[in-house]
Amino acid sequence: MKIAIYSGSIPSTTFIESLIQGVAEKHNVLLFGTRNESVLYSLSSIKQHTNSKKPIVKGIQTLYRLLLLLFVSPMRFKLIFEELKQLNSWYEKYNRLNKIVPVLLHLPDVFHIQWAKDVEQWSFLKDKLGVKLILSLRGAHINYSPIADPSLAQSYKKTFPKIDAFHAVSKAIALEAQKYNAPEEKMTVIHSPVQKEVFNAFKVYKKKDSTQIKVLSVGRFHWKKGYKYMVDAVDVLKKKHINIHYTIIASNQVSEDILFQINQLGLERDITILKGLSQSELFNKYREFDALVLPSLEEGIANVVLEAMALGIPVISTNCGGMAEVVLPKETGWLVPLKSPQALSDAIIELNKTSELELQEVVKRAHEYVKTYFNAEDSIKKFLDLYVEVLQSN
Amino acid sequence: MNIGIVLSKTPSYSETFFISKIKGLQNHGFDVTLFVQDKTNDFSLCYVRKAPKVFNRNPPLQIITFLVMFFKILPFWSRIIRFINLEVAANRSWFRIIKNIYNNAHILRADLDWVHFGFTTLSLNSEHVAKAIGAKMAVSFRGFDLDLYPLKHPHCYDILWKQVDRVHSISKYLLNKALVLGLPDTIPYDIITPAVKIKKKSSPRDSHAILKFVTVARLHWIKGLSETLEALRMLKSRDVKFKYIIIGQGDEYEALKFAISQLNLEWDVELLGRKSHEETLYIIEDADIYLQYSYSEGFCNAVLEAQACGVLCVVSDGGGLNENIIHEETGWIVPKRRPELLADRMYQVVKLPANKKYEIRYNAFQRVENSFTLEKQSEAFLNFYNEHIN
Repeated sequence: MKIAIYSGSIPSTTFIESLIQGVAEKHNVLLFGTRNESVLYSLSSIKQHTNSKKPIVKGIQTLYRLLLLLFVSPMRFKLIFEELKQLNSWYEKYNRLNKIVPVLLHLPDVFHIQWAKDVEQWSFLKDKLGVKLILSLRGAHINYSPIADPSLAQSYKKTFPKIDAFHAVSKAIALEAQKYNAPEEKMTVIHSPVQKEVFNAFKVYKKKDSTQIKVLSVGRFHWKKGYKYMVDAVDVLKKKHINIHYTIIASNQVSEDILFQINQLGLERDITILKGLSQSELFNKYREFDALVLPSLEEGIANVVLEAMALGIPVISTNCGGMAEVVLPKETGWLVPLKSPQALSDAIIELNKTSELELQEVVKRAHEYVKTYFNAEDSIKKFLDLYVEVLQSN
Repeated sequence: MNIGIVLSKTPSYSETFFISKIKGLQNHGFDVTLFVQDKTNDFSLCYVRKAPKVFNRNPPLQIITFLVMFFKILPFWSRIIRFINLEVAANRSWFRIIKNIYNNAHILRADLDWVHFGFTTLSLNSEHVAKAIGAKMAVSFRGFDLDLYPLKHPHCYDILWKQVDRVHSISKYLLNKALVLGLPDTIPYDIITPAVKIKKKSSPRDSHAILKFVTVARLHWIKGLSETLEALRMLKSRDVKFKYIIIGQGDEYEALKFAISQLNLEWDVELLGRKSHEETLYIIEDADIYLQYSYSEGFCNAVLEAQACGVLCVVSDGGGLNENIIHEETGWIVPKRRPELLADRMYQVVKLPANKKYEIRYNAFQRVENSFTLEKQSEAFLNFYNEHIN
C-alpha cells in the first residue's frame, strides 16, 4: 500500500515524523511538500518526492516531472490543466503546479492530510482519481480558524463530507469538526502519543522544601495559550501574600502584551521568561517546579501536559479542547474553568496544601493513565488499521 | 514664526487634533510645514515636505538617490557639520550618522523656529536635527511612545531627553510616565489634551429596549476587549439584553472572534470593522453606554467624543482615562483587568433611574464643552510655542 503522509513541509512535527517512521515499517510512505531541511530516513520504504526551497531548482524539478508524467499517464497530465483553470493569477497557478505534479506522478492509494486548511485543494484526488483521503483534525485549524474566517468554514462544510476518514486527536475536536459536516461515523480518535523516553524518565514526586510555590508553563507566546490569565493569577496570589514564582518557557520572543502586563502589575520579580530549551534540558527543568500550569483557551490535547504527567509532575489545566479527556479532577490533576485567574490561583493554593503522599498518588495515576492511553505502539497500530479499513471500504 | 511638525503621514481631515492645531496656528500668523514619509494627494492645508525614500531592496537605486541627496544638502554644509558633531558626541556609529543625515535631509534643509515631533518615537535618530538647524525642539507624548515602545527598547529616549526644549503631553499620566523614563523635571511641559467639536446640548431620552453598547478601538490587545467581552458575558447571565458594537479593525480579530464564540455572544456582539469618522459619531450618538475598558490609554479621544455626544461612559482606570472621566460625576471608572467588577458596574448603570443617567450625561457634556474645545486646544498650542520664545 502506498500512503502519502502530507503536512506540506519536510521535516514535519515530532509527532508526524514518528508516524512516518511507524507506518513505514509496514507500508510504503510517500512524502510530498517543500523540503526545508534535508532528512535522511533509514527505511527504504520512505520515498521523498519533495520540492526544493530554491526557486530555480524547484522549476527544473517540476519541468522534469511534467515530462515524466506526460509519458506515465497522459490522463493525469491533462488533469493538471483542469485544476489550474480554477485559479486566477499566474503566481497561484505556478505554485499549485509545483505542488500537484509530484503527487500526480507518484499517485498514492491513501492521501493522509495533516492540516485541515489544506484539504480543499486536494479533494480533486478523490473526485477525479479515486484516491482515499484521510484528514487529521488538530488544534487551531478546527477550533478557531473557521470561526474567524467564514469562507474557510464554508470550504470545510463543502469538503468534509467527501473525506473517507478523519483522525481526531481528541473526542472534543471530533465533536467540533462535526459542526462543519464531518460525519460522526467516519471519526477515529487516535491520541498523539508520548515518546517512550519520557515515560522512562519518570521519578516519584517529592514536595520541595522551599516556602515559595514554583509553577511553570511551557509553550510559545500566542493569545490562545492564555498566559495573561496566569499572570493575573500571580497578581491575585501576591495580593493574598502567597509566595509564588511563575516561569514561562517559550520558543519565541515574549509578546508585547505579556511584557506590558508584567510591567503594569509590577510582577517583574515574580515572573521569569526563558527561551526554549532542548527536550532533555526541559525534562530536567520540569523537576524544579511544583506544578505545570496550562492556562490555554484552546488546545487539541496539549503535549506539554502529557509529558509532565508522564514525567511525574502535577498538572493544572484549563478545561479547553480535549484536556478534560486526560486531566481528571483530583485523579490525575487539577482542571479549572477557562479565563479565570481566580480559579487558577485557587487550584495553585489547593495543590500546595495537598500532602506529599496524596500528590504522589495523583502523579502516579497520571503517569499510568498517559502510559495506557498515549503510547506510541498503540497509536501507530490504530493508524495502520485505519489505513487498511479505508482502503477496503467502497 | 515657522513651525515644522514631523508626522509619519499627512493627517486625514477627521483627525481633528492635528488639523485644528494646524489651522489654529495658521490663523495666528504662524507658518506651518509638515514633514512626513507619506503624503496623501488630498492634503492641502499647509506646505508638506516628504522624507527621502529608502530603497532597501534596490541598492543601485538607493546609491543614486543618495548621491542626488548629497548634492541637495551641500549648500547646507555648516548645518551638516553641526549635526555630525552632535551625533559623534552621542557616540553614534558613522554608518548610523550617514543614515540619519539621509533620513533627515528634508528637515535639515528647512528654516524653522520649532521642530515638533508629533509622536515621541518619530524623534528617534532625529534628536540632533533641531539644534543643527538652529531651531527649538519639541515632542508630543502618545500612549504607544511611552507605554509600549520602551518596554522592548529600554533607554531609547536617553539622547532625546538631553536635546528636547519643551514637551507636550496629552495627559498627566503620560507626563509622569516620561519622568519615570528619565525626562528631566527641568524641561518645560504643557499638558494639552485632545479636543472635540461640540455639536448640540444633550437632551433626556429613553434607553433602547435592547441596550446599545459601543466601543471604538483598534482590535489591539491594549484595548482590553477580551475582558470587556467576559464582563458582557456575565451581564448576559444577569438577563440584561444588549447589542455590543466594536468599531475598528486590527490584529486581534481572530482572537476576539474566537472569544465571542467561546462566550456564546455571537448574537450579542458585532465587530463592525473600520468606519468613517462621521459614521462612527452617528453610531456613538445612538448608544446607551460607551465602553472603554483598556489596559492603558494616553487620554482617549473616543471617550471625549462619546461625552460630547451625550452618551454615558464606563471606562477603566488605565493610564489617562482617569483624567478623561470624573468617577460618578461624568461617568464611571472601573479597575482595569477585572471583568467581574466591570459587569457589576454595568449592571448598576443599566438599572439607574432615567434622571440620574441624564444628570451624568449632562455633567459630562458640560465638562467637555467647558474644558475640551478645539478653541482651547489651539490657544494652548499658541502659548506652547510663544511662551518659550517670550
